[in-house]
Amino acid sequence: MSPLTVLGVFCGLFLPLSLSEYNTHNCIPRKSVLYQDNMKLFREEGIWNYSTMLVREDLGLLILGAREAIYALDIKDISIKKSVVNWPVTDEKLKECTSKGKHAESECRNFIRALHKMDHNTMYVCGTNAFSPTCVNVTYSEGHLTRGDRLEEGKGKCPFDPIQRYSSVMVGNELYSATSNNFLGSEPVVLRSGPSSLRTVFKSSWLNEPNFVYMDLVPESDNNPEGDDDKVYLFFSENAVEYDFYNKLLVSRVGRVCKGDVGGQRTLQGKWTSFLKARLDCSLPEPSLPSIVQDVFLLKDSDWTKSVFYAVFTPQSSLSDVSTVCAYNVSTIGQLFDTGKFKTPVTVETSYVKWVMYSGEVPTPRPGACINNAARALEMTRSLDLPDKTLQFISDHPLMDEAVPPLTGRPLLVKKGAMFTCLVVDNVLALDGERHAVLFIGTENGFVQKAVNYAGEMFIIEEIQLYRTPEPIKTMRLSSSTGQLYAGSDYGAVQMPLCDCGRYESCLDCVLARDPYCGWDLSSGVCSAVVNSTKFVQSLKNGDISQCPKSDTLKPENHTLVPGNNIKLPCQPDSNLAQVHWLFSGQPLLSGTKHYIYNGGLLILNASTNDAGPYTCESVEQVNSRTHTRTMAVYELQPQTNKAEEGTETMTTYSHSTPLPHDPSVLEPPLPPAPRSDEHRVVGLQVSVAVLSVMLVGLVAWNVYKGQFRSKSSETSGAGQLKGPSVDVQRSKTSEIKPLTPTSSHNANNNHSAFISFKGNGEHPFSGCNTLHVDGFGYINDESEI
Amino acid sequence: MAPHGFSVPAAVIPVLLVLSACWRSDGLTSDPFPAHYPTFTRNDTLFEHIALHPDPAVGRVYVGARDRLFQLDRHLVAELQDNTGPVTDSRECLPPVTEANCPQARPTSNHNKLLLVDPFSMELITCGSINQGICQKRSLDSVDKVLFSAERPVDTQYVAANHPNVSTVGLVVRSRPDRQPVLFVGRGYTSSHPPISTRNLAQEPVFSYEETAKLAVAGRLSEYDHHFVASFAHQHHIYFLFYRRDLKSQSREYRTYVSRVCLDDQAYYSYVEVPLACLSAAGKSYNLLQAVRLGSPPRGGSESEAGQAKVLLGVFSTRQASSTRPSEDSALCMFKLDDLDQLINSTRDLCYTQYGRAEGGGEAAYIEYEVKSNCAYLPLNTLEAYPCGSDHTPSPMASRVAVEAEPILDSPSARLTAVAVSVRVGHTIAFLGDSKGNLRKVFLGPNGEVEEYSVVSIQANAAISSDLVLDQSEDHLFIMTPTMLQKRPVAECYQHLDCQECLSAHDPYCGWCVLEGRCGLQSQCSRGDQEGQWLWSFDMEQQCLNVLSLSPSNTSREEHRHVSLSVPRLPGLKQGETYSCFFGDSESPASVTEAGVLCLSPEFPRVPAVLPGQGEFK
Repeated sequence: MSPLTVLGVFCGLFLPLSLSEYNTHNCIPRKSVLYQDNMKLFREEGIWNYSTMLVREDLGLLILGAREAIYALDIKDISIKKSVVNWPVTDEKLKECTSKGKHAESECRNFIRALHKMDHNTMYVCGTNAFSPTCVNVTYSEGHLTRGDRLEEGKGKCPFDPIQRYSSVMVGNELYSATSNNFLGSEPVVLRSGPSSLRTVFKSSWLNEPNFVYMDLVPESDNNPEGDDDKVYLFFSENAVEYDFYNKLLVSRVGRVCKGDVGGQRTLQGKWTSFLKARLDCSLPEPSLPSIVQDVFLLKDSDWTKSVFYAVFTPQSSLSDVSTVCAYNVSTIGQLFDTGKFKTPVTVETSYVKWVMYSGEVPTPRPGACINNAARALEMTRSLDLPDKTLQFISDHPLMDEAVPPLTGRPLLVKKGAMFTCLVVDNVLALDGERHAVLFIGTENGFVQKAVNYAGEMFIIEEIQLYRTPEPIKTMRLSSSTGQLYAGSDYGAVQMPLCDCGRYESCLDCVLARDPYCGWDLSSGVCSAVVNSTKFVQSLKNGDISQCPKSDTLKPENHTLVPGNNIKLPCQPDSNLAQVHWLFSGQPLLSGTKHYIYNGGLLILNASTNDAGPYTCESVEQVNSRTHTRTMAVYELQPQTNKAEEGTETMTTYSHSTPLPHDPSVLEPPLPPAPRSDEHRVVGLQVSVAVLSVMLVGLVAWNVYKGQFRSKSSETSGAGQLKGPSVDVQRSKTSEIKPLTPTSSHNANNNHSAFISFKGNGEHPFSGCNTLHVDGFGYINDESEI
Repeated sequence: MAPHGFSVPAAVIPVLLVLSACWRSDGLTSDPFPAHYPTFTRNDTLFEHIALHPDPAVGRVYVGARDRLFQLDRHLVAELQDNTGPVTDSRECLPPVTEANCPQARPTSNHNKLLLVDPFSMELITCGSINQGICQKRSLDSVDKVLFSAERPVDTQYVAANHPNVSTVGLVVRSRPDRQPVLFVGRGYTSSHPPISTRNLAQEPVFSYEETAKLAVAGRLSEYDHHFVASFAHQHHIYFLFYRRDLKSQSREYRTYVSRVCLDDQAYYSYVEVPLACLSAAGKSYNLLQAVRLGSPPRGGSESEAGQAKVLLGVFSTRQASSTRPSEDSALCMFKLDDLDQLINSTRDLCYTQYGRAEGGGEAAYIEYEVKSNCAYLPLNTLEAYPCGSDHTPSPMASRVAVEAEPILDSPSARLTAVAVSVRVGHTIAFLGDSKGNLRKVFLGPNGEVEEYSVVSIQANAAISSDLVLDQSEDHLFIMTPTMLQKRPVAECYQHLDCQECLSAHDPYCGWCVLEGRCGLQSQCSRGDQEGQWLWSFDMEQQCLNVLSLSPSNTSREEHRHVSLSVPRLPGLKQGETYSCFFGDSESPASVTEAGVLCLSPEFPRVPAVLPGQGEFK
């Protein structure tokens, strides 16, 4: 009991803080979809690190890079392996690697880190190859993957270290890579390999212990009035030089180079003359350390000026668990690089260097600019022609003074809980003709958050658990043509459809889901992917359900009231965002000593004949301050005509449907037989209720504070012990007291499995799936150790 | 005791000239006007560096000066001169400088920053301060003949500091006879060029470090602000000595360091840097190295010399609190190269295998220059397998612990600016130059004796350049001030004509060569290494030979008899050699006795008068 009390106090302390910190409303996913066994998974025994992916829609393949293996998987069903090519390290390499102090299994293997599309059916593949990175061509023909014979030095193209972050992009036949250039990982480089190889200068003002995250090409030469060049953008985090801080402070950056750059003539020869970088701002409203960019996705628009980079950020401090998403307009970044002020180092006392805004004269052509019409007018057609002054300036001043502001001036999404690891964005054409960017955000516990922005407000449509056990999602790829999302982790690769409209069973649920992929098909009466031809109901911005067909009023279920018993009336809303309201004879019920309202339903303690009457459960969901109320369940409690038998259950649970003979939802606590309501029991009950209350308060507080439960054990065992092919099992990890609720189905036709432990110490070996109280405590123990 | 029996002018003098060879040394006695040392002076320039032709037989001397290069013969007579400046240049512009790309260019003096002999290809390498410090290869036979100069140099070919006051040091070495020689360069901070680099001399681009190696510094070089003092190669390593700011300390004070890299290390994996501290007992820190020299026994020296420990002699100054210039308060500190190597090796070992922690758990080794690497816990066999490191060993390493020494000589009012070292049998001689234009000679004995035995004013108030060099035979010293170069013998024993004068000179180089009757170096005395043959001038207890007594003290002129002369410490002779007694003009063979010699007096009237105590050895 004491750990609980401690937790209660602990959470209580945090409560005011957490409440003031955020309006957590918009970070709660409307639905939580737990792991489903029919999830399409690919993994092979003994193979790990499925962390590199390449979608080849042209070949109908998902190319998957893992430890010492490259797979060609069916793009429609990745559990179908079409071919594999193994690429193990040689014994010699392995020996050399281990003799250099690296771990034989976790480091001295060939971890595939780069997969790039080449011509036709060829892929350019790089692996760490026991800390001696190597690249090779792999071709797919006649259903078979074949590894080429010609091995290429992979230094600078691929990291030595399998766990080091890095990025690369193939532009034409030139590979742009950002990684470390040596065994120790001490020499970062942004490299373009090929005939006109270029690299960054090794100095801290260029790259200061960077962590590379993402690279992509923006075709800025398209219809460019300034005659500008295509650019490769690079996202990374690094040690800041521009802040005075007691310790190393990380900042997020966007950098870029010009595709046409060929280096300088007398200085910066073989080096980028166009490397510029700026801080990426994605700051929270309250003061905090700069957040760290983890992954980026470029949502391309046919007009490149409208292309947008979406980036996920996690906090720098381990004390925080707020992940954010920010979006940046390509043209905003470009404008900052093209016209912004530079930062310059200034030596202050005893040689300390401070970075301040450079206010002196900036040489012409502008340092860091690509060769554009302005440069051509000065008869400079290649970067080799650039004057030394410009080159010397850019060599010393690669950093811009200002930060790149996020698209809306603030983060698009702020969410507590499991850290975001990666994201992809799909551009969805909705029924109203508008395009919506739908974000799929992978988390460190194996969930995908599906989120969309409506009129500046972020809305998480759902969260989907991709792995049975919490697995940090390492990579995600999107195939719009097949409507699939692929995620990779150390454990395996999984596939998930971008939408599963069938999950929404009522029109109200379908419309309030505000999923741009889905609409309520009035003709067939199901929620399905929107197609223009049929008549659909969809209201993304407002959640307007007025066009939904009127639903029939529910018929009350009759139940018998046994005085002295505790009665549970289950009611589970469709949405984590909905609030449950209970009415007794038309009057609202509030949680108190008599009634306890929790997420799974209503608990009537020590029922008496006064409690007989009609009970109504309403789900109230707000969309844009419009309130939608829906009656979820109606019960009629009728006083018992006969006196209860000896050995009455201490609690009665009713269900919408008739309990099955072995329905575990009917609680039969294995208490000693014939406990005959003695004092002992009553005292025990009171204590239990007290314990429960403390626990609930604690959990609510903790929940609010954390935003989302991050209990590995609870999710693991909870999900793992679901019986049978349960469909759409819903379990929010965000709303109140959820950990105490059992897994339950929102489907009225399914059995409700509801259970509350009054004992609170998990001493009862309950049979069946209802072991959630144990999980709950496991969770608490987990967190209290933090 | 007075031998009254002899007449005055002719002393009794037993002397020998048994050996017929002429024991004249070139160096010490060839100059008929000892006061007029070979001297080269110019008033229109400033001398900056000196280099010697690698062949001692040629004896040519090269002087790098502001806007001038001189080629001098062994007597410092100018043979050739090349005018290297002024040149239209600007420090902000990259060569080739044109009016179009560098309108701010002005006539700029070209200071000589590096003057090195490449003994492998027999070329002279010169680097000036203009054109971003690019270098030329020149002919050793005619300094004005440029053999190579990059026409369109790129920035990796910029070698020397482009500032007159920022030093550059260098050395041409090759790791093995089958390897190409390379140029190692240590360059003080002026802009972001690597402080230490290896320049290739054979392939295009010549002088570039692109394909060779450089010390990669992740941090900002301006914060470290390196000042290089010297570099030397020893066995399989190259050493650099410099001072820079210690960014790990709160005060960021300048500190002197020695760094070492394996000669054949193409990536500086083996780079280790250790602080060098010259600390007085009272706690005064002489932190700025001014000049340093490795004292090695001369090449081809005797076995006993070769076995002698190599020492590093450094002159250090302190920094004036209010300025960046070194103060006059300075000191001489001596370090054993073995101690340095030991600390460097242990720094490497701890960094490779103990996370850099010493036995007590404190950090002893770490990774310097803000390079993102850490000392590791590699298998112990790493030390044997990779003594010069590899791509997986952490670098660049540095030691938290300093090699410390106490000053052996201090110079509170004249800053020591130069040092040259000559290691002799049993002792070491340090030649020091100071800011007041004095050459100071210091004797360093085997038991810690330190004695400044001579101070010579070379040129009043003209600082002696740190290019204070001995010639290959270590017989001469080249002493340079901004306007004068002088070649002086390391000692001028021949000036002392008799034994008394020779011994009273108190010069550790000199001694009285008994059998030859000359004051000279021990090596120039035919039996100098034998007991009693060479009376060391520096030995205070050393006495000249003389006739202590004659017996009989009196004898009649008519008497023809044996005279016994008591001569203590009379050196022994080889078989077949004899001493002779001269009584005036008359010679009589002497036989050696225990106390001296026995001679038969000449017959009257040939006996000269002899006064007491006038017996003389010639």
